[in-house]
Amino acid sequence: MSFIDYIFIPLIFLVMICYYIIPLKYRWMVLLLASILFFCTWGVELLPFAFGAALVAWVIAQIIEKWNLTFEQEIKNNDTIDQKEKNILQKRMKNRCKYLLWLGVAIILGVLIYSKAFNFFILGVSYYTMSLIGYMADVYWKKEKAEKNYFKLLLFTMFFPKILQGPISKHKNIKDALYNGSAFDYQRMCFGFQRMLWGYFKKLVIADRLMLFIQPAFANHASYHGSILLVAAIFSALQMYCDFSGCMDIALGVSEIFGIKLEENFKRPFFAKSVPEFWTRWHISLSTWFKDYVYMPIVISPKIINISGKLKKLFGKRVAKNFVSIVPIATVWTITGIWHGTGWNYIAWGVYWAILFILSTVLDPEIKKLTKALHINTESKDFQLFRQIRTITLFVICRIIVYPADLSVTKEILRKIVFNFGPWQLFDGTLFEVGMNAANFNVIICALLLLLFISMKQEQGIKIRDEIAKLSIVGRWILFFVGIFSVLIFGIYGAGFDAASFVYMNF
Amino acid sequence: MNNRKNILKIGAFLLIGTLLFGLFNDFFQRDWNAEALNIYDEPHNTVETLFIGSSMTEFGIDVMTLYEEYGICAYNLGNSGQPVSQSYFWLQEAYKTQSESLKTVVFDVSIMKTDLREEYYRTATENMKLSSLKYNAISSYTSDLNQTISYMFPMFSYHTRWNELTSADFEVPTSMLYTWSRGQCFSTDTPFETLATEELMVWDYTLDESAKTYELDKEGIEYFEKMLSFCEENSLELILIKTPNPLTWNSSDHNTFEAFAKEYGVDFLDFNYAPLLDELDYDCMFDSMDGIHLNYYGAQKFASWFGNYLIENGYAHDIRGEEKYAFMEEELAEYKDEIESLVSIRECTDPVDYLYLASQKDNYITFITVKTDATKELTNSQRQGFANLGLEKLSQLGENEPYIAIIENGEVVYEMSQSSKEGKLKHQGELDNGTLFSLVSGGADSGNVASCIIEGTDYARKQTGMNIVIYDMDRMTVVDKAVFDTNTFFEREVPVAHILEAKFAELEEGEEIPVTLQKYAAYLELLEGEK
Repeated sequence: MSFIDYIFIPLIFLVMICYYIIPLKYRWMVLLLASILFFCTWGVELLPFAFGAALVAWVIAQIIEKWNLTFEQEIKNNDTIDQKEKNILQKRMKNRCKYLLWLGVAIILGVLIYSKAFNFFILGVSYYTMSLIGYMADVYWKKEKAEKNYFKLLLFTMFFPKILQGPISKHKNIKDALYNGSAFDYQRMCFGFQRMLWGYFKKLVIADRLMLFIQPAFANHASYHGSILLVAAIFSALQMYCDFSGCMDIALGVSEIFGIKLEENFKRPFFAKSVPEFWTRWHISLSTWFKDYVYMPIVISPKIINISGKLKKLFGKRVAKNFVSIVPIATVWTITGIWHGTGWNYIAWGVYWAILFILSTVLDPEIKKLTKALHINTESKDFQLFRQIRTITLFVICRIIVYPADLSVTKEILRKIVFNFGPWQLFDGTLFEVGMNAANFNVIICALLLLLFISMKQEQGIKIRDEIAKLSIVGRWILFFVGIFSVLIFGIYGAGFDAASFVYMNF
Repeated sequence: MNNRKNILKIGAFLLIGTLLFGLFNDFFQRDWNAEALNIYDEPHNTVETLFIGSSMTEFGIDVMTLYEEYGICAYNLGNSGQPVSQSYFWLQEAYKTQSESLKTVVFDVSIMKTDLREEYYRTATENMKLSSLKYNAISSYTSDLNQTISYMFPMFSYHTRWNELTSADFEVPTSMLYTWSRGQCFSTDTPFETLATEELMVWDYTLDESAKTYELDKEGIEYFEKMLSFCEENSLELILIKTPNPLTWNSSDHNTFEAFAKEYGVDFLDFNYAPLLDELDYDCMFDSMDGIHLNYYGAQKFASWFGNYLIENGYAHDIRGEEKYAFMEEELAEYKDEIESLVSIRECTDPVDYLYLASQKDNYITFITVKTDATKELTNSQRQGFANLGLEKLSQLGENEPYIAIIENGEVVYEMSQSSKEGKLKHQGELDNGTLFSLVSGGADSGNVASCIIEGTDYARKQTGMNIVIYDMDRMTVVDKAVFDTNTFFEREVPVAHILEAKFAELEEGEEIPVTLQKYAAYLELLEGEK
């Protein structure tokens, strides 16, 4: 089952009723049961992977914690050994734990790699493996306590709103709400459903409608000039955002109904002024995960510090500093690329972002000098807008790299956009013949304007849901029904369309 | 306290949502199978004979004639491409309200030899009322839950029609052309209109008893068995028939179904071969729409024969005079009124007669628009006739001049013509019921066009001469589209087959002849050759 199955919302209602009628203490069990059933709709044979991964993480986290506790106890109670000896023992203990952690990571990562390498679909594997690795690492770093109850950790692993496309949650962030249960809150329930509705709007009305254009435009790229292909690429960027963030809105909305606040995964990325900022606004939970569990460990690893020290002596401060930023960035983006897919286009995608990141870090001093020399006021609104458009452009190029799944096509499309633009195709009616007629263009324009309006309000710090709550009940309900029926009528779904599966589902 | 209030709010929200959803569902649903849906309005426990099957049934059985001639209360639940399974579910649906009176079920077997497409299933039962039976009907052909749900609630399937909805979609119930025919659809077309000249042939009606039988589709048999046992459980007589269909039915089909019926101990009447064929007095070129389906004339012949059969065998009885069947007289009167005016309009060959008949019915609106020229072959008596109808400008229309007129309730409410040099004529407006229309006429020197757009659809035939569209205000649908090529011919392109013979005899040497008459001539030659 997916979020866009007709029975999904009625089932959410049913789960919600079950959840709130049983005692607080047992509520998490309802979620576990619902999650297992949800999982089973994708194939019972996929269950062992999730059960197994959770089991590995549960056992390893427990052992690490137990070893640490006993060790500390022993050290504390033992007055016979001196500090030096203590340090040696401590290091030995840490190594033991580290090997165990690596064992756990290897097993869980094994499942992920197996799934990727053999193209074997395991529901949610990309998301729960990362969550579990993060959980084990946090226990290892003593950032949090190991969970005693296996089934609770299983719920964390399989929690159905986040199993399809994340977010990649941190255990410590959601465990309290997830395990302790929460009392019914009418307002919160309304907010949850509202957020779901907004997600469905983005997904079904915008993203899937854009797909009607993007798919044929790229598939028949030979028949179109650069202008149409550029429109398709821009649409593709918007489509990606609306599809993915729409799904997140649904996931977060559903969890909110149960009083669980999952991590935000998107923060209006197209308002970002630079590539690094973009990645603090796009797929946030993935970037955070990589920052916490790959980037930082590399940066603070003794080996890197050691090499950087040597480089400093040999080539100076700047080279050493660049080395410290380049190595982890390159590593992170190579892995991120592979995580997304094993094709060349994804490797190119990883390299592309890595280069952009590295350039923006390494060349920072030069850029500053340049803007100063050109007397550009970097604080001015125009310049900020320029930076925003530049970031969006870079993302659009990234879509051209990834979407066609064939780098020679990417090259062809980029060539046409630059050297064979053919702007008349935008005006001679070709635009409306690609796959989206004029009526659908009107819908898209209205929907995108609404999206822009809401995003701008949010950027200003206005909470839309609070504004809606201020309306009278009549105004509110009219708004909701208009929203619901807009999605039902203008959504692209149903017998004629097979599109509707979410883009990030296969990761 | 607060919780109770909140639960009440949730309840109210869901209720309003459901009502709105129901409303939107009605807007978006397609009017598939619209004729059959009238079964819901039938008085309970009145129908004795039920005809089920595919389009062969839908077009082939004139149930009103069954009443008129034999006093039989029957209903036609045929639907284009309706698979056996869906016929079986419709039988059950009808039985819900007709269980006490229903005696006989007549099933046309044609569909059992046809390859079925997905949409045949869908369109058959999509507009059935929401019930567990509808769920069963849908889940008989799809196991996909999403698909089942989207067929249960047509809005999910057809919401993409948002930019093509017309006023008719907002009429509740959905507009239907034949609300008065007890489920029958009809056509006055013949093979001379529907088939190409090279497709015309002298049909062979001899039965080859040695022709090989073949195996029938398993699903068809499965649901036939279900239908049979349903009939047996409820003491209903099941009769299998095959209406005349020389184009696609052959001896091998006959032998197969003959054996099949024997195996199950059911009567099978095949009207494709002697003696039944002769008893019907069937002539494919005049009684069929396309060599496959019966047309209006064929359906009447069939009913005349079949009513007698039903009465004689005690499968139905004459209900005339019974108090609870008084409504049938009213229905018959309405049917007569509607069908007679429709058929006579379609049989008209002269534009004056045609316009006169159309203006006789107060729910009809007639739109006239001229393409190229409508005057070259116009006679003085025709001009006089137009003048008598109030079409002054038409009676004096000059060569190549564009012309537009609207007749409503027997009165000319709009009429305009202009010199052919002045360009195209255009007129648009709104009918009393809110329907929007726009007309365009262009003469030989001014665009050569004719269009008659009603709520976004162009109904004009777009041929040289007078293009006429008749629109039924009550049912919000187009009743007939005709073209009278008074530029080339003296009369209308011959519309109905049984007039062909007379028209052909009247032809003068060297005269230009319309396409249907050319086909008729070709057919006569074939017949000659055969002899």
